[in-house]
This record gives sequence, structure tokens and C-alpha cells, in this order.
Amino acid sequence: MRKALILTGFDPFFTTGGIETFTKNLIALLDFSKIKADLVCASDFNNTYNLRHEFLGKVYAAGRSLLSLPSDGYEFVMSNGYYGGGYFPKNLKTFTIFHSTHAAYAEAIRGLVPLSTYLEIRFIVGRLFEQTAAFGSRIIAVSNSVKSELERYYGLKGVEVISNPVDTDFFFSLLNKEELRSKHGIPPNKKVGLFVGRWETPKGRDLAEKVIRELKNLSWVIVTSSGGESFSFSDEKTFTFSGLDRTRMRELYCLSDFMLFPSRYEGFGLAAAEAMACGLPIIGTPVGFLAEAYSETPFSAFSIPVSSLDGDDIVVTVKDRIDRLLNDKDFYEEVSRKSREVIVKNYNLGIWQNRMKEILCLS
Amino acid sequence: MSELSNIRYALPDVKRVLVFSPHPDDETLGCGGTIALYADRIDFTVVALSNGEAVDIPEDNKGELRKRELAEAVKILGVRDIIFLDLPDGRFEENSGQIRKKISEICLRKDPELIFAPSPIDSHPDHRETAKACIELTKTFPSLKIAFYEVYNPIRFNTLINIAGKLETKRKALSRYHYSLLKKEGVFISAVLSLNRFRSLFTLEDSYYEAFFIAEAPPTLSGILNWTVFRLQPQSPEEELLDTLRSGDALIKELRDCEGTVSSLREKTLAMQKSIDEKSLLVSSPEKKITPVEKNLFRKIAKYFCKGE
Repeated sequence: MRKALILTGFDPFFTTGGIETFTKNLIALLDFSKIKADLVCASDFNNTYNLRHEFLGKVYAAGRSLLSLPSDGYEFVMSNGYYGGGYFPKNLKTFTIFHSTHAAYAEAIRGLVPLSTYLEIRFIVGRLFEQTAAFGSRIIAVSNSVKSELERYYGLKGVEVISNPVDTDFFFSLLNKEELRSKHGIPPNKKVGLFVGRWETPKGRDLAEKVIRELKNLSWVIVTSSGGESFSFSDEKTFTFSGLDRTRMRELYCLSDFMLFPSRYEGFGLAAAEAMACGLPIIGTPVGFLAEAYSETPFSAFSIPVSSLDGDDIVVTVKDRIDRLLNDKDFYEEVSRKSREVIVKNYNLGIWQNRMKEILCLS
Repeated sequence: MSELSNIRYALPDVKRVLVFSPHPDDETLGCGGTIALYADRIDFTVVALSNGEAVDIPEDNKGELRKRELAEAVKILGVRDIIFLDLPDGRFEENSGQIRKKISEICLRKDPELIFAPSPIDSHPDHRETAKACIELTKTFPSLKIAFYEVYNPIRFNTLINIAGKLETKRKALSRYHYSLLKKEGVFISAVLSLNRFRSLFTLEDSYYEAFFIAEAPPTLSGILNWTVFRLQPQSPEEELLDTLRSGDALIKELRDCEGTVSSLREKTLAMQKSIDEKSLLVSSPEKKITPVEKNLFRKIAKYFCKGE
């Protein structure tokens, strides 16, 4: 049986996130090509090298454990970003896929987090681990923005872009909006904004909170994933969820009227892409794949410049975009239709599968 | 002094040797005594990579002058076979491909068993580039041995050649290098013979030695560097990464501890409504101010990870 090895942070079957979705897609693709995928998850390792930063110790230990891999055991190794830290490919063909760069992420949140956090992300995870993870391997970025970050911060060359995929056969607009709202206990007659992401400052938690508190005529659905800050909403207009599977996510995309995506940094922004595939307009920052999407009309009208995020008028900026979107039904439908078109055209699963097959030389 | 037991006092038993000299004079400075000592038993070919035309003297035709000096000097050492590669002095790095091609062709033609090359730990960039090219040569010619010689920086050695009997020959050969040695050949001769004298510290004999590191198995640059520093470097990239990681991890921890202290100090300061001395603060962003202690750690961490940039 042909085999490949995938290095990642967390078990994708028990954790939700962009990297986990990618990993599951990759496993399915390999399975289709009759290649068995073995997973090495950093979270399963012990911090045997006694680093003060527990998780980095696990990442290093995971990478280090691969040094004794038999060169004829696997066809290739796919490392998810810095989770390959400590692994120096010997005789095995290795690919490193970067879902983000911690250097750019650190710069995006500089001044918003303690200096030690900034430095740790910028230099230890970024400069040290990420750059090392690229050593000796073929490098893939999930978006053009990640590619340019890899070039800019780590001086990497020959980076190939394979955009993250959206399963557009699964993520599409469900027409029974009222039924879906009723199912989740959300008022049928209110305009509903959606926030998806870890509830933390880098994802724009502070901005979302400000907008939600001030735009009182809207209802909000907030879907958080693990690892964020504690949550402080307990009013009637805010509906919170966490750790949802993709079926529930699709329902929430489809029952909402728009997504608020005020993230300060994204490598790709999978949740926004899935939402767009469901026809949900995105009001957000031009980060990850949205940097490209927002360069075109009609989407450009809904972009929130990252530079304006920390200004006083962020609520006014967001309100202006919401009004423009929701007060013109024809315009809304045009944006909704084109949102899906962009995803189907550029980011559908088929495109991704073909590109991955090509680069991994799968039949 | 346990090092002594591993030192050899003779060249390997070979018949054909190529002496790679980045500039006219390096071969005599680094291994002139050894060449003179073995010239009756070994066929030496001196390969001058450049003519040394970048030397800082006012004369015209500097390259030609230095070529002539080399011919006279190595003749004194007992060598008649000289090859000039005419590579541009001071620009070896940008011509590395050409260097590799040319020295490979010469090796094919001359079929040497041993080559002499300047040490890779030398302050002159052309010397380092020559050393690197010679190390790479062994990928194509794996049985080739390399003897690294000293010019501007002493190295860890495994071979000492007693040149006392050829000291005057070396001095005479060096004295031919008037222009090459910036018209200060006296200083050069004195310095280089002092280095040869210094090596007597290892033998405790009243003598003069040229020191070499002779790599017999196909060497790697990192292997050589590791050996020259008594294997103080981590043995593998993963160990090296771990060392860096540990240091960075410790620095971040120190900063994090410091932030805890600083934040309580800040609260006290605010409570007492004392103004903060703006001049002592580094502004990392319009909103974020940090203390001199943090600033110092910040610089340390940034410098630590950005070395070599």
C-alpha cells in the first residue's frame, strides 16, 4: 500500500479550523489515489525537550520524531506550516503548505498584544519555526497574500499558490431561510449579521463587539471556535454557537443576511469563502483571499480598510456598508449571486484537487 | 595538549599536488616552506586564480607585475609548472561558477592526489571562495585530499610540517613579492615566519612549522567548520535549531516575567499620578509604550533572530 505522511497540529477529525479542513480534504484526495495517509499531530506529543512554551515543545518533538523515518516508507511528507518545525527532510520528498505566516500575523497585531507575545509569534514561531519548516521542501501557499509574505519575511523563493478549496457542491444557498431561523430560534423578521472565528482581537473581536453593541436594530449570530477569549454577550439579539460541523455552518451562512469579517489577518479566510459560496455578502477587511476578491466590483464597496480598524469611526464605516447592502434588494441579490460565482470560478474543490494532484504527482 | 598525539608531521604519500593560490603570494605565505621541502619528491603545480590586480599600489600593469613575482618566487621554491586562471581579483564570489568550472578542468587534466587551498576561515573573501570551490571539487573527485593552509588567520590543524631547513628559501621567495606585499615585504615576512614559529608551541621544539588541516574523506563545509572549532557547534541542524529555540524561548520568558512586573509598576505609577518620562520610552506603535527594560529585551530578541540579515 502506498503511503504518505501528513504533519499537522491537531487531529482534524476532532478539531475545526482551516488547516483541519485542508487536511481532511487532502486525506480524501489521497484516499482516492489509493494512498494511505498517516497523521502526525503535534498535540499528541510531549514537551520532551522541556521548552517553556509547551506547545512549541510539542511541535519540535513531533518534527524531531520524523528524523528516523525510513526513506522508503512514504512517498512524501506534507507538512502544514510550522508544524514541521524540527523536521529536516533527509531523503523524503517533502511539501510544506503555508496557511498563513506568523510574521505577517505578528505585524498585524503588533501593539494590540503584549510585546512578548508579538516577539514570540514574530520570531520564534515565524522566523525560526516557519522558516525552518520550509527548509528542503517544496513550498505551497494557500493564497497570493501568503506567498508574498513568505517572500517578504522569510526570503523564500519558488513558492507555488494553491488556493484553499470550498466544497461548492455542499456550500450553496439553502432557500428556506425562515425555516432555518426557526430551527435555530432566530427571529424571522430581523436583519441578521454573522461573525465566525475565534473570539479574539486578531480576528477583530473588539470591532465586532463594538458594532454589535451599537447597531441595535440588527440580530447577530456569533460562531466561535476554541482558544478565544471569554464571551460577554447575553442579550436577546445575539445568538452564539461554537464547535459546529459543516452542516450547521451551512445553515447559519444561509439564514444570515451578511457576514461581518473584521479580521486583522488571515492566510486565506475559509469561513468567508464558504459563506460567499452560500451567497452571503461579506463586509470585511481585505485579508487572505478577500484581498483579491475585494479588488473587483461589486465587492470593493464592502471592504473595510485594515488601517481604519483602530479608528473611532469603525462603527460608522460598517453601518454605511450594511445600509448600502440591505437597503437595495436588487443590489443585494446581485452581490449574493456574484459572491457565489467568484468562489465557484476560483476556489472550488475541483480546481484544488487538480492542482494538488499535479504538484503531488498523483494519478 | 592531547591534540599532539593526533598531529601528523608529514604530507600524505602523494606524487602530484595542485596548489591553489587565490592571488600571487598566498602560496608562498601559506605553504612556501612545505613546497620547497617536498619539491624534489612531489610534482607541484601552482594555480594562481587571479593575478592580484586589485592590490592597492599606484603602479600600472599590477597584474603583470604580480604574475612575474609569482613566477620568480615559486621558481625559488622549486616549482616550474604554473597556471594562471586570470580570474578577477576581489570578485571571486560573483564568479564562483567560473572558478568551479576552471579548477575542475585543471583537476581532470592534472589528476592530482592532493590539493592545497587556503582555509575557509580566512578574512579574505577570495580565499574563502577558493576554499569553498575546492571543497566542492571533492564531490566530483572524491578521492582527492585537501590540505588547507593558513594565510591571514590561524586555524586548527592536524598536520605540522617542519620547515626550519627551508626557512631561508621561504624568506627568499617571499622577498620576491615586492609589489604583491604592498612594498612592505619585510613586515609580511616577519609576520608569517612568526606564525610558523608560533607553531613550535605545540611541539616544544626550537623550530618553524607550516600548519595544515588535511581533510582526507570528502569534506563538507559545515563538517570542516565544526572540526575547526573542536566540534563546539551542534552536530546536526535539528540540534542547532533546538539550541536557538531554547535561547529564544528563555528570552521570551524573561520578557514575559518582566512584563508582569512592569504592569504592576504601571498601575502604581498611575495611582500615584506620576508622569512617565517620555524620553525613556520606546514607542513601538502610536498606542504602545514600553520601558527601557523591555526595549533592551526587544532589541536583544530581534537581534538574536535577525543575525545574518
